[in-house]
Amino acid sequence: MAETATIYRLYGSSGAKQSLAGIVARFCTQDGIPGLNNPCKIPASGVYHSFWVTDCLGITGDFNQARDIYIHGDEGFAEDWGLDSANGGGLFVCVKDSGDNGLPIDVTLHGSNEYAQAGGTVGTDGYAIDNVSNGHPAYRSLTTKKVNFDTCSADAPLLIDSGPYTDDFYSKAWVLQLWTVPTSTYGAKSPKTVIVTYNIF
Amino acid sequence: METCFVYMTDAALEKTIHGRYYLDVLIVKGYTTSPTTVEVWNFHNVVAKDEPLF
Repeated sequence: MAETATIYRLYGSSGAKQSLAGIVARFCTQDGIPGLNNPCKIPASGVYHSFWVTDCLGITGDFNQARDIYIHGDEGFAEDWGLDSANGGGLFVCVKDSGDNGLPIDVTLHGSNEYAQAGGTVGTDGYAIDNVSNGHPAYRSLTTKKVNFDTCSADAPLLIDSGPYTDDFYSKAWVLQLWTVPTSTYGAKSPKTVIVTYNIF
Repeated sequence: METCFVYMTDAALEKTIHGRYYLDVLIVKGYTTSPTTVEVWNFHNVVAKDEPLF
């Protein structure tokens, strides 16, 4: 038996799922696959934000149960991409105050659909995920709202979705956003990996 | 590239899968007022040849 796992990115007002198979998913300042359009920018002062991205795991095929979906990185996004975390730059991920940190995106699977389309000024600055008025509606009113993704290590991965699932499914989603500050380093950044872990049998 | 991957699963044995996907970003000097000073980079020059591109 075999299962196929695919990462998806949700776009648009309805959260249409775009497979990331064979794609390097790029942060940018638009809601959609950007190519070289609308790159992230460095502000003269303050913070600029990418449009937030909403990614999830989908599994199809033969399996009895899948659960315990976590994500983590290598703790080096800010350093490797020159984001200057000491002055507020970095890659951030939304978190809940308790339980699964993932965003419910399917009423049937998750009990609700809290997907929110990314917005902001196209080409310049996205809405900060933690902004109390136009941040992500599912997280902006919470206590913590976000953590630096570089704190989500192999030893302390971020719980996205505890499941369990017994048939084909999309997981709850994780919401990421890149923050740049005046001292961030501009340029094209090399691809880095997000590790997605789950238990299955 | 393992963004989409297939695993064989033993129905009697639970196991942990570690999959991965890739993120990148293009950052430009957005504060400049003249469009001619905004630098756009060609990813074909900086991404490994086996990395799929947009």
